[in-house]
Amino acid sequence: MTPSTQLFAIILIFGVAYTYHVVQKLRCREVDLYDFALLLSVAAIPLLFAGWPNFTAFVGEVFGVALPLTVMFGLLFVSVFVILHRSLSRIHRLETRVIALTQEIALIDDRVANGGAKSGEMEGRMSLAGADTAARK
Amino acid sequence: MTNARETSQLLVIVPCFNEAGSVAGVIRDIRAHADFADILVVDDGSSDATTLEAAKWARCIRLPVNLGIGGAVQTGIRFADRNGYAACVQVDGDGQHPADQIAKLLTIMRSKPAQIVVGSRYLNDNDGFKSSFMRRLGGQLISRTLGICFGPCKITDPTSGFRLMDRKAIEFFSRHYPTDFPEPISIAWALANGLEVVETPVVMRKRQAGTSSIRMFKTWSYMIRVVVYIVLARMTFLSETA
Repeated sequence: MTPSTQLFAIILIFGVAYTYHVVQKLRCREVDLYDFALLLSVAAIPLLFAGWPNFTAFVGEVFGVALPLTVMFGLLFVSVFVILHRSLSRIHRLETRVIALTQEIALIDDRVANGGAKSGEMEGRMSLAGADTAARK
Repeated sequence: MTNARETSQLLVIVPCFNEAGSVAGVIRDIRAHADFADILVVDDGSSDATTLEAAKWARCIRLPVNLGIGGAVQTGIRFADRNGYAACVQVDGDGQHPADQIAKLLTIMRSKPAQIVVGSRYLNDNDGFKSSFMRRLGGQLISRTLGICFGPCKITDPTSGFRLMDRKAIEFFSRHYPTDFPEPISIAWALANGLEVVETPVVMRKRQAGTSSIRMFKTWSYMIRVVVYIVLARMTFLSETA
């Protein structure tokens, strides 16, 4: 299955533009090397299938599918799934850290404002034994 | 009741989000009925004058951004943990939890070997505020799911925020506290880690100001998600020596 020249040209233009975009992200350190490789696979897989018809035919035979592009979309899905999985894990970790940090900021602010005093020390509170009296009322 | 509980202190945590209209009344109520306790208001990044109002009457910690009720309550629990409080009780800033019932929670904690005492609106018939039919139905569904997942422990009001925690629970929740659906999920996490949870009937009031975050369609969505979370908590939550 050989792609038309137009299709190959479109995939090539997308691949080059996308790779340039991802390289820029790597240069600005917005992604790490592992993410860079994963993101690059989104351009590399279609290019591989469009640029090497023999490879496409081989994949079709190995997987027993009439349309090797099905395998290509499957591989792309795996790529996107791995990226998504990593992103979700990172977001969750970051969310946990942001919550903990926000709480720490608030607690430290309070400590600084109150000179490290425990609430009861400031207000001259009584002990829990006072609860007995209240409970009896 | 151990000696530590008799001699140490109780912290009342009042989580607030835009409760400028009710927070002063809540603090006055606590002072009137539980003057043996310290009060800590946790302002969850309110956009109104909650901090200003609260700071006039009690110690107030202001979170720089809104974390939700779970994040606010955990801030108070961490404060209790670091300052060595023997117990802490959560009293919502909307005025639903009458402070005269705090002593009742303490009495139950003294008489039963439990780490968490939850104030329930539904345990006995009383004249207090019971919330809508849909919410009660949701509460029952969540309560049954908790029963199926964690055995004989019967919790009739898993969404009640009015709860007393002892030192062991404080130490556990200062490390692990859910940010999504904190009231029922914190019970699930506590049960999964071997903490004892008991209930006592309490009379609650309608909120004095503000609106609930759970309404209409959200009630259904809340119910379904909480049930799924509880099942997941049963299956996956890593037990630690609490």
